[in-house]
Amino acid sequence: MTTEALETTATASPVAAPQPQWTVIEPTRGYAKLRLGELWRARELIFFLMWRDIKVRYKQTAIGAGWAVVQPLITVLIFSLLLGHYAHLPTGGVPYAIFIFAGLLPWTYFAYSITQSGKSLVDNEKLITKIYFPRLALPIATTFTGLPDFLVGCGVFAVMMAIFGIAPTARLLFVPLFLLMAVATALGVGFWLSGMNVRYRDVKYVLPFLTQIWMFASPVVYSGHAVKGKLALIYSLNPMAGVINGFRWALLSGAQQHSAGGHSFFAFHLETFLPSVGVCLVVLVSGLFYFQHMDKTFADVI
Amino acid sequence: MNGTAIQAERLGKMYQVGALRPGFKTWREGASDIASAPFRLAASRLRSGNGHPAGEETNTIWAIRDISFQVPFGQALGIIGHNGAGKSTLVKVLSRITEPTEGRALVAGRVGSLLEVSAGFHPELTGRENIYLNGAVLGMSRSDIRARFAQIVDFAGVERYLDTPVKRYSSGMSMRLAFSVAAHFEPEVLVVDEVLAVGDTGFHKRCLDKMAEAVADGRTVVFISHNLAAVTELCRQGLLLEKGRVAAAGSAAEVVVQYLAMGRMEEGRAVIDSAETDGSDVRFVGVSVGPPGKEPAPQIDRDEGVEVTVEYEIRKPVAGCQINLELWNYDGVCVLTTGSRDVDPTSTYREEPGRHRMTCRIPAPYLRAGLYSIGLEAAVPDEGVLAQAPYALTFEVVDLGLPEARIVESTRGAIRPVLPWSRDGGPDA
Repeated sequence: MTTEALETTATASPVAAPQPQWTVIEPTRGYAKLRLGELWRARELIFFLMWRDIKVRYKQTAIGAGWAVVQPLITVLIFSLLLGHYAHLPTGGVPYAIFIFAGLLPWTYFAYSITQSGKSLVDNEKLITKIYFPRLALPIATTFTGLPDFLVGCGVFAVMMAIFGIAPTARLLFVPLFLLMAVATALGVGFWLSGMNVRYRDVKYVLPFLTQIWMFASPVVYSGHAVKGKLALIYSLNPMAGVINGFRWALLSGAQQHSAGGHSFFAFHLETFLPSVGVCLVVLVSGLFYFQHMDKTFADVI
Repeated sequence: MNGTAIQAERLGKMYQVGALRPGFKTWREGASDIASAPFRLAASRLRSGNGHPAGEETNTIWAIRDISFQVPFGQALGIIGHNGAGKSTLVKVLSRITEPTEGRALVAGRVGSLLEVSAGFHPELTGRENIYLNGAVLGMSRSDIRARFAQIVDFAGVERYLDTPVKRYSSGMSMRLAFSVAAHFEPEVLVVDEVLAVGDTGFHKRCLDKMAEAVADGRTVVFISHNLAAVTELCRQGLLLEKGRVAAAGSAAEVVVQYLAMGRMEEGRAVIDSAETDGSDVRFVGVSVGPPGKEPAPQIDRDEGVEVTVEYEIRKPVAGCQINLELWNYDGVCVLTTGSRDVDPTSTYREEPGRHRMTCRIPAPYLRAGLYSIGLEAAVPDEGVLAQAPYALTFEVVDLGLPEARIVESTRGAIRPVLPWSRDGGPDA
C-alpha cells in the first residue's frame, strides 16, 4: 500500500484516512453511557461466547446433550410425585405432570440463566483483565446459552402433551412473547448479579437461595391464580409470575375443565400481567445502567 | 489531529491500596456506598471541573499520572522504565482494559495486543474452534477469521491437531496458536508488552519480528520493553516512565541514554536503598565498580578488567551466606552469575554483625563493550534469599583498543573472552 501517496493526494477521501474511527479513552463522568452501538458491533463475539458455552456444556459427560432431555423429566417426575400425589393442588383438570411442566419450562431456563449469568464475569476473569471487549457480551451470551436446553425441553413437553392427548390451541403462538419476557428478566437480573459479583463474591452464596425463594414466589408448582386479594397485586410484581401464568395460558387453556361458573382456570388477566411487564422492563433497564456504571471498575476489582 | 495515531493527554490512573483486598467489600459497606452515592455525586459536581478528583487519602496511589505523548501514524513508540514505573498500567489504559482516572487519550482505530493472547482460549474446544473464539474476542469478524484461517494455521504449524481439544496441546503449541491468531488480527494500533514474553526465547523472537513487520507495514506500535537494543532499533520515539510519570520523552536513543543515566551513579558507585530489606538479617549498603585496584569509575576499558565491590551489613550472625552477583547486558540477557562461595561451596564461614565488603574481579578481556547492569543477592543456599538489590548499578565497558581489535564487536556472543588456542601438531601459531 502506498499510504503516503494517498495521504498527500486525497486528504478528504475516506481512503486517505487510515483510521476507521477514533477511540476516545477517558474517565466516565456522571452517569454511565449505555454504549449499545458498541454492543451491536460485538454481536459476533456474543454469538461465539454463547456457542462456546453451549459446546462446553455437556463435554465429557456420558450421555451428553441427553441431559437436556433427562433433567426436565426428572424434575417433573419428582414434583409430580411429591406435590401431585400428596398435596392435590388444583390444576384446572390438567394432569399434574403437564401442569407443572408448563411452569418448569420457563422457570428452569430462567433459574439456569441467572445463575450462569451471575457468575459470567468472575468465570471469565482472565478475559476481563487481559483483553478489552464490551463486557456486556458476557452476561448476554450466558443468558442465551440456556435457550437450546429450553427448546429441547419444549420438545419433551410436546411429546408429553401428545401422550396425554392434549392438543395445543392457537394461543401457542403467544409462547415466544412470554419467552421474550423471561429472557428480558433474566438479562436484567443477570446484569445486576454479574456486576455485583465482581465486587461482592457474596453473590455466589446468595444465588442458590435466591433461585429457591424466587421459585416458591413464582407459580411453578402451584397455580398463580391461587393468590387472591391484595396479595395478588404484590404477587403480580414478580415478572416470572407473569411469564409462567402466560405459559400455562398459552399452552394449557385448551385442556382445562371449566368450572361451574364458566370462568376459565388459565385465564389471562391483563391487570396482573402488565405490572409484571413493567417490573421486567425496570429490572432490564436499571440492570443495564448498573452494569455499565460498574464496568469501569471490573478489571481493577475482579 | 492530522497524522496522529495516538494522542494521550495527562493520563492518570489511581488505585486504592489496602481498602480493596481480594475479599472485597462486604454487603454493609456496599450498602452504605450506594446510600451515599447521590451525595458523593452531588459533591463531585460542585467541585471545580478540571481538578484532580478529591478523596486522595493515604490509601490511594497513582500508578501513572500526567502522562502525555503523541505517536504519529506508522511509528513505533518505545516505553521503558524500571519495574513498577507504571508501564503495564499505561498499557491497560491504552488497550481500554481499565479506565483512566483522569486525562484522555485518542486512539485511531482498534487497539490490539500481541501478548496475553491465550486469554480467550477454552481448553475443551478444539484448535479450530479456539481460532474462531479467540479471533472474536480480539475483535475480528467471522469473515476476517475465515479469510485468514489458513495463514493462522500455517503460521502456528498445528494443521494435524486442528480438531484436537486445546487441553491436549503442549503449552508451546497452544501459545503458538494463540499468538498466530493475534498476529493475524492486524489492528490499527498494536500494543506489545514485551516484559510478559520473558522465558521463551523463540516466542520472544517471533514477537519482535512480528512487531518489526507491523512497523514496516506502516502500522502504529506501542512497545513496552526492558530490551533497550530492540527499543532503539524498532522505535523512533521513546518515553521513559519513572514512578508513574514521564521522566523523559524524545527520540528512542535519547530516552535510552537517560534511562541508563538513572541507574548510573556518579563515579561508578551506588548507595543501595535499604527500605525494602529492613528487618532482614542482611542488607546491601552499596556497590561500586571500577578498574581493578583503581578508583570506582562508570566507564571501564575492556582491556583493564572490572572489579565489583559490594558493601553489606550483617545484623545477626549468619553462617554460610553467599553473595551472588548478576551481570545483565542491555539486550536483556544475563551475561553471568557468580557467587562468593563458588570457590568453596561447602564453606560455612560465619559472618559477625557489622559492615563487610567483598570484591569480585572479572578478568580482562572478557566482557564485550556495552552497558551492563549489576544485580545483587545475598542468600544461604538451600535456605533462602536474605536480601536483593536488582539493577543496583549500571556501568559501561568501552573498547579503547586498536580499531582492528574492534572488528570482534560485530560478532555474536554475550561475552567476548580471549581464550587460549593451540594448533594440533604444528608449531605454536
